[in-house]
Amino acid sequence: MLVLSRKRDQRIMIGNNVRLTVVDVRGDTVQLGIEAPKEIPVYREEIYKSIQEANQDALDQKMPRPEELGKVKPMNRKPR
Amino acid sequence: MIIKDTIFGDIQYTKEDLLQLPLGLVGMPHLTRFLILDFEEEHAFKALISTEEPGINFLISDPRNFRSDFDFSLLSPTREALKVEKDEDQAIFVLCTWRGKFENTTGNLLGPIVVNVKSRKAMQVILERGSYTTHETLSSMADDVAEVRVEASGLKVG
Repeated sequence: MLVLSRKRDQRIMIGNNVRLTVVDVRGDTVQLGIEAPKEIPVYREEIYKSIQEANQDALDQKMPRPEELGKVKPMNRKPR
Repeated sequence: MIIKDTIFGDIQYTKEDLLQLPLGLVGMPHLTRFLILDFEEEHAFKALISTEEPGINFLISDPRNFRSDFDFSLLSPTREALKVEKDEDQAIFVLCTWRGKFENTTGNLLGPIVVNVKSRKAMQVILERGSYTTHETLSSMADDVAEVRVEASGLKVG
């Protein structure tokens, strides 16, 4: 892992399009500002992992066969 | 092209049928191309099937089947990223976990999938600012299954 030291208001560029700014440092909490193109999602790691686990869980539990799922019809309404 | 699925058997499809997630699913970046299949016409649940890895399939549904007041405004940044111009060009679905029986099914509303129906590009997003979890239970439908809604229409395949 690359480890860089930065002071408050200093920045790090990741490639040409992602910029990290150290906004504030208080005790053991660092506030980071992240500027990235909309196509690049930015997540806290623990939330990312919870989605990854949920995706894996959905796979592991296997999809039901149509006869197990039963007939469940949608409600009539305007499409969103 | 043909893909073998554990539930649907041989599925014949063309490139135009594919739903593309250039970034893959969250934590599964290798899964980028899918088909959406109906269990039967107008069913509240559909199937999302990987064309890259045989046997990978997900149960999907409308987020409003889990939270009837699902806040679509949280999706605006994703909508922009996918270049969705009009409401009718957008579809949203969530991955569901089947837990033995229908009433126990949960939906991952923290990580819905947004689709640009026109370009057939899609993205799984994380709604950090919402109050949703990865395992929301079905809302108000145990009594009346007719209340269940379907969103992924317009994504008909096959």
